Amino acid sequence: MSKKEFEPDDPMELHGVEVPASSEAELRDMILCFAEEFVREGWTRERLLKVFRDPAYKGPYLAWLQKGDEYVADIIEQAFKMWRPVRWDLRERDMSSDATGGRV
Amino acid sequence: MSQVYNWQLGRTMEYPHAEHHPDRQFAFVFNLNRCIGCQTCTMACKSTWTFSKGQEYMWWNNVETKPYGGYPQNWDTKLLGLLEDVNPGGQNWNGASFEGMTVFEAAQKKIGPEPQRALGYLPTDEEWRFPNIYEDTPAGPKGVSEAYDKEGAQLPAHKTWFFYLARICNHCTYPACLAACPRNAIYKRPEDGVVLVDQTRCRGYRKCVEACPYKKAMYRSSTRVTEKCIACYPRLEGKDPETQGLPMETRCMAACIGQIRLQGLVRIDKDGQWAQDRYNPLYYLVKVAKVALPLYPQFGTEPNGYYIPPRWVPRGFLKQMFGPGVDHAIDSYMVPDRELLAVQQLFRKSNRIIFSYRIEEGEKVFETQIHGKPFTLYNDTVIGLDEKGREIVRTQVEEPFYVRPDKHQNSI
Ligand code: SF4
Ligand code: SF4
Repeated sequence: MSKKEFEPDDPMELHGVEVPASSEAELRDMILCFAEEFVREGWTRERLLKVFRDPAYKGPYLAWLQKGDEYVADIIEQAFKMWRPVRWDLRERDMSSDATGGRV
Repeated sequence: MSQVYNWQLGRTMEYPHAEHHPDRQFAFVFNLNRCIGCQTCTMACKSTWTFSKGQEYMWWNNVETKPYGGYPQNWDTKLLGLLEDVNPGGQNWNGASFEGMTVFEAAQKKIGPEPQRALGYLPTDEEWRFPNIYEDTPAGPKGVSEAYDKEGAQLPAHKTWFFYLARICNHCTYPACLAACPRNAIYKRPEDGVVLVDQTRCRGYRKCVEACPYKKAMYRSSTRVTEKCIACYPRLEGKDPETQGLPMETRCMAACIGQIRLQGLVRIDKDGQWAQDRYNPLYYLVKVAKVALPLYPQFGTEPNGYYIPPRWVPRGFLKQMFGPGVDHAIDSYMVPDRELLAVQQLFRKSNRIIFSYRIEEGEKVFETQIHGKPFTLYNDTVIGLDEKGREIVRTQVEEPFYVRPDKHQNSI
């Protein structure tokens, strides 16, 4: 796509609104929030990480783009520590036998 | 002008009509921590009510990416700007009480070419025409169907915080659209508080479009009258055969993939307050747990849509959008108590309106720390009941998780 310069008299030009920038802590909390929501529903680590890697899920994906696999996996682990402190290994094995379908 | 009580502002305020309240009120809670911006709700509404000629740019339900998105573009920042111009530096909260001016109060101060009953503006055609432009909706390569640009190549990735804000008409307690109509063509139904435009009385003056602070009254050029969200009232009335006469949730609620939505009907007292109804899930979320907050309460219409605020967003932004209850709402949501965790399970478990719930205590599953606070998870069972107290849904906090195998992907 060719680059078009900013034209102030174009009514469709993007209007700027000043907002505070995202801090590291906020980004981290967004990732943790998504992870907690789905861990609570019973998702596996692999399934969750796939959501972050999938460009169709813009929010998780943009976070993953900036931070990468290791960082995101580490946060998912923390969500597991909070919401699945016991028997999650067993649960995961139980569920993965059925986890053949679906894109995530 | 009459004096009416607005509980969201913690004070009385001026409103062009005398206080008059329905027996029940259509209301909803959206949990913004879960919205994935899939627009399934938007399409559910579009394909039901606004698929005809003249309705091309009409989206009664829309989902915008905050902070940069809006439909119509910049609707909220524009109105916040107008209010600030009328009352510079004065749009502030003092604890739970709003000391600034609502759209009704500000309209009396504003000197303009025409008097207004509610401060507002008419969006331009361009502002209506491009919902989600510059937002996070995946765009596909030109001419290729069922594909999207893997990297979202045409726009730089937004590196700021953001969240998806799903919106419909709030069927406000003090509707600005209704207040502004010179023909009294807009009315609030006594049985459920749904705000409707009488299509035969409306003459398309667009005063409601100008006045609605949420910009949810929309002009249809092909019929030259205004249309707006009707809260799927045939479903509310139990006309859908699926529920056999019982009130049913709207199309946008029922379609929600992210399970962020819960809709109901709350009982209203004669004085306009929510009647005590401890085990109505909406009453619990809004009045007891206080995790769900109104959108821009300072506008003064007492909207009946409530939001669980997204926890990662800067607090200043959230407080401007949802008022002074934000800190409490997020704290309660992040480390939910036993009842809140159970009630959250009711979101999207039934298409029928849940009028009350009951919790049966289950066994202790584990003790742990959630965000540094001690927490115990119990596998309680929550039961949703219909209008007559009959069970319509039963689910557990530790809900079993099933994955539909590939061979059944497209079967229902
Ligand atoms: S959101 Fe707007 S259109 Fe809906 S009732 Fe309130 S003022 Fe009227
Ligand atoms: S269907 Fe639900 S999750 Fe999807 S955009 Fe609408 S509100 Fe958000």
